[in-house]
Amino acid sequence: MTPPISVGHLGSRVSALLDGQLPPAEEERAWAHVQGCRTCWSEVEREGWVKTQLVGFGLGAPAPPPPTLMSTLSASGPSSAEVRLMPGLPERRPRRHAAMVAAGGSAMSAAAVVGFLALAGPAEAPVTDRRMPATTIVRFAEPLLPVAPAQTSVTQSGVTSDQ
Amino acid sequence: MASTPPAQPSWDELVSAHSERVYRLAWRLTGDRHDAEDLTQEVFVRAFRSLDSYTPGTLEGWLHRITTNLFLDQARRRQRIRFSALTDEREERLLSVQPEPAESYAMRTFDDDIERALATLPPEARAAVVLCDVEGLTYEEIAAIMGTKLGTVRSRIHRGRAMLRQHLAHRAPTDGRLRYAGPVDVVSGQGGDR
Repeated sequence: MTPPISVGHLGSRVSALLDGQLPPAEEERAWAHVQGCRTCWSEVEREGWVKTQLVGFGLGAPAPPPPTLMSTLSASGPSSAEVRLMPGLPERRPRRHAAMVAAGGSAMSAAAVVGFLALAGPAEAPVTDRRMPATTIVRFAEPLLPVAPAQTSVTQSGVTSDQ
Repeated sequence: MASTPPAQPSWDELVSAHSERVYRLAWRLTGDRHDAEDLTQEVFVRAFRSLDSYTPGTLEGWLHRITTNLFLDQARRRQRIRFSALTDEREERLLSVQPEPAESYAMRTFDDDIERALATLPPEARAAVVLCDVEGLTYEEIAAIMGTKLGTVRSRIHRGRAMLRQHLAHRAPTDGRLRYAGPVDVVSGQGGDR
């Protein structure tokens, strides 16, 4: 399979690709390049692994603030002062991770992400590595695959060409 | 004649609603529970003083910005005086293999090898990675918080992850080993592969 090199090596764009932060057209080209470029495929795989570790780390619940800190904070603003803010406290934003791949949108990106994750193989990847991102990606990716068999073969050829 | 609008939160309500999140971010940025407490206090002091300049937007984003920038200010100052006794003591605490009893809770709930690996990053890369991967913010949000361009955010994240990959190599699956191999041996720098 001839590598569709419409973009050069991705460099730091690997980060943006993994984070779903490239514009759709650029993301499409980037995934097409990754499919045929061994160097960038490895880079995506390695950096994706680090991201997975960090996301898992972020999901852990840290210790709550100690009560002494809470009292200190309460005392740091005059108790009689009313804070002039927008009415009501803003709601917490949902974490972005869940929508990361949905934002990617295209069938090719979805297939590529699934293929990328499949590369690690269930026998090789630690269970904790793949749990959160893999589940999320598969859940969002499946409905985005209009022609599943064709996309799968593209993905598989990308994988096998690398081995 | 008291006529306080009920929709406006009191300071206590503000602290109660946001202190935990600020503290969590502060801990992950500083990598140290004590430093996180100090930073959280500073954030709320700064927030209280700056309320007049707060413009409508998400309060959470505003507090993220204050927290990150105070952290970066402190980290840059520390880099300038990194050989001082105080900093040495802090680094020793960060790298300590044997946790103090008071920190045992943190050691159980945090992946302390990731925390130590994050602590080795330059402050800007560390902040970018934490905001992206741990806090789940977009590049645009991170750029706004750090006052940089999107490309700078991207390169900081890329550089930070590349450095982390080296520090977390002991976690990577390798031939004949399928699972996490344990924290890095700080003395030898080798993974705890047994």
